[in-house]
Amino acid sequence: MIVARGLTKRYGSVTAVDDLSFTVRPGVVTGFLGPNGAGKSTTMRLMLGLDHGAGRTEFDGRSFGELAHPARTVGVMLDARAVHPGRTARAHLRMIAAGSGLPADRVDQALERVGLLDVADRRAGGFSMGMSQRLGLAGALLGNPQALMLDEPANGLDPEGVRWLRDLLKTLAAEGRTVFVSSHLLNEMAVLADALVVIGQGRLVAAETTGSFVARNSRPEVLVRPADPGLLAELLGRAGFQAAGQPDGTLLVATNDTDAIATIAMRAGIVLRELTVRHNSLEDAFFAATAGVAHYRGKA
Amino acid sequence: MLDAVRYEFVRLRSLRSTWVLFATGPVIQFLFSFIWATHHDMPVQTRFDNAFLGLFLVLAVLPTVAVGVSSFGHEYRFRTIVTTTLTLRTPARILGAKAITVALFAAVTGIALVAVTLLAEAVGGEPFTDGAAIGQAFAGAIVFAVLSSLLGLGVAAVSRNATVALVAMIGFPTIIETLLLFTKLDPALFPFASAARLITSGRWTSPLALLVLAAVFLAGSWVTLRRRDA
Repeated sequence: MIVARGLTKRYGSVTAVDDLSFTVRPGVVTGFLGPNGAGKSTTMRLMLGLDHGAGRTEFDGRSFGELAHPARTVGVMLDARAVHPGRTARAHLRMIAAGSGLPADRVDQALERVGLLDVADRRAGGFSMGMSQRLGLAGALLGNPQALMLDEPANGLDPEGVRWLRDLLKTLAAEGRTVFVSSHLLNEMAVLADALVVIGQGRLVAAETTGSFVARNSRPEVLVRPADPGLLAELLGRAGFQAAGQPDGTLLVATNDTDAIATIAMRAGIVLRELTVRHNSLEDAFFAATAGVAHYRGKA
Repeated sequence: MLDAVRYEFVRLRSLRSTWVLFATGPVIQFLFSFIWATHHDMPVQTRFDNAFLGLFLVLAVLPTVAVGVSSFGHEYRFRTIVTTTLTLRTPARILGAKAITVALFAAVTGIALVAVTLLAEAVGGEPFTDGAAIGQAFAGAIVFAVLSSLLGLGVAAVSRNATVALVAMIGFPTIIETLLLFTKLDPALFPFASAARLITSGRWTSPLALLVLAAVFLAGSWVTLRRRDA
């Protein structure tokens, strides 16, 4: 279990991370979400003691600096490209293994797990982004740790790689490990993360299960395709429903009560060609939750 | 600390550039000393001593200094300092492991420089056989190479920039100290020129200025590692 308490980081007058507290539980994949500049990477660096700031993060009761065998407790990947380009993948991992007191045979095991054993003696400078991500993951898995902290691990992976990563992280979580993953890929997070920590402008926006986050940050909607949209909209309005007409002749009604809509339409003799409850996505919920805390948001 | 030294040792030996730099210094030294070795009009002791004179030694040691500079310079250039910090964790372990490996590497280079000089003398026609002078040269070359490399390591850690550090390490002994010769400053205060004299003169105080400079920059490195974000 990872417990972060009161994490704070200031750069002069700017507060990048503001009194952030959350818990990451074992056995599930926890996604770490936030708009650009929200402070996700800074938070992860604070948790590991790489940045100086306030607060404390405990990995099974101890801070990273207090861990007797950090590589066996927390596997970390913050920047997959942070590898000397002239060093081979195998040498890069051997270096980490030597510094962490890990047996050398762990290197090939980790390379095999991420699918890089065939290119183990190739220099990392020639690796694609996806291969670098896999090498970074191998470094994180080297000590067979109980917890994993990964910053944007899906970046640069091809669709097959994304699926492999998803299966790997779910498997690791199912083994009882604590898996904490930041990502910008909301659709991927929707199928990967069981729980979420969402931040905006360095402050905690939400820390809950993915399902409850989506439910809490979205409103129910029913899509109706009636033969007479104008009449049905008027009738629904009289019944107290908010119905918004769409350019394609459909209505979006702010409710999940399809029975009520069907009854009103039937009484008025309006034929319905479609009546569907629209399920909001994590993306919709994320934008709703972070609407007021995004630093950078463009216009289409 | 042993694991930290192992980490640094693997880090150093797993780069081709380390071995290229390791070989370059002795090659340069062999060429210089062979040129002197062919001056048969001079006594063999003078030929041997001249092989370590002034800028010759600085140039021969420069590849080793570059290894010291890269030890920290590459960490910041390729952002691997995060991996190093997460693995070794404390500034003392990071700096200590780097200092030990760089010093060992430099010491071996120092030995190699004297060995190739003796080889050049032999190839040049007359082997140099004065045991005491050879012992003095080994000690002096080791001390000079180790202190120069540690200074390079410290400058790179403080500046966090390999290029700046390397330019400083080339510029100080070649340009600054040459200009200082025109002043009335005591030559014992010129770190590199004074330390190089240990190879031939046997005065054990001559490397003091370089020792102090290296110690100051290593202390600055430790403070930098403690205070700045990784």
